[in-house]
Amino acid sequence: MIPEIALQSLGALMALTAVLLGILTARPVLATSRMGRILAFVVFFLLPAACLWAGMTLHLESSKSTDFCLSCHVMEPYGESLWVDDASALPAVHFQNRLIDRDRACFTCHTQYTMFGDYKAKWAGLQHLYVYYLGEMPEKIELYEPYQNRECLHCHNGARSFESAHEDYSTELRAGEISCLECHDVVHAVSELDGAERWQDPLESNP
Amino acid sequence: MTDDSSARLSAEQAENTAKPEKTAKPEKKAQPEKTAQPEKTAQREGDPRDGANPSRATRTMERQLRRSGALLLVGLAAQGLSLLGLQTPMGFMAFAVFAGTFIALGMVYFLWAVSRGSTTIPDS
Repeated sequence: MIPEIALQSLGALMALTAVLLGILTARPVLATSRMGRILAFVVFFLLPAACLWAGMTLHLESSKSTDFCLSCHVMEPYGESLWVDDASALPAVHFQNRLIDRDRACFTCHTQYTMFGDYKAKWAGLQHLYVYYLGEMPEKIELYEPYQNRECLHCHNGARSFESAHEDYSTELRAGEISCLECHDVVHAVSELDGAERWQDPLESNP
Repeated sequence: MTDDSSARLSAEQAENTAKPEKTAKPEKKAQPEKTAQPEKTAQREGDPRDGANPSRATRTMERQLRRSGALLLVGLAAQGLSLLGLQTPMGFMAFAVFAGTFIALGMVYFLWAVSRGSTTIPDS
């Protein structure tokens, strides 16, 4: 969730920038003096840059939310699969047991835990938006590349339950020689959603 | 005859001596005028590329600032609208495609104008 204060601060910054821009655009003569030139640099470059940076940060943060991902109707079945009452379904177990932040459920597992992983994920997201609004949706939605163990190990590496249960092949898992999904193979089983039972969270209503 | 001819000669001499005086006068007056006029125009107009003319340079600067300001204001308006659709793909796309593009263009145009316009932004 985006804090209210962040939105208000950005709104105030944008309003200030717009007012100063309006004044200097209407009366550019003000920018002829030495101080005016400094003011022009601040108003025409620094403040818009700050607005752009803050806006981008806000939009990037908000695009990590589960609601954002599920707002495309093609993603709705994947969102529903998080509520399936099946202990072997990997995303559902993580989501229902709060092993991941529910507000960022999609992003937590589908980003790449590398230096530019977030940006890479967002770039892929922009491609999704293009395809969603302007392109043709593929019949079956697939990952761009095979799911990496790195994303699982980002959280599970060194965890007591993981280490004790995977003692025999932890080296292979870390080396990527065995995929986690070879054993944990029930992921978003969207084709089996129709007959599947849903878990009802007693504290909140399911989407 | 001799009286007549001598009278004509004296009249011609008088004319010849008088003509140079008449032509010399305008030359003396014209020379300083001709040299003074270009100096005055140079002070007023100068070379438009070196910013010697403050009014022209100021007009150029005003035009560039107005263009840059217009781009930035459009971008800020688009960003404001995109914030209304925060947490929606449409809002994200509006920001990335419209707001980001217009603001970046406005900033780059301003920087371009300034980098070019150390000549066009005049000293007050």
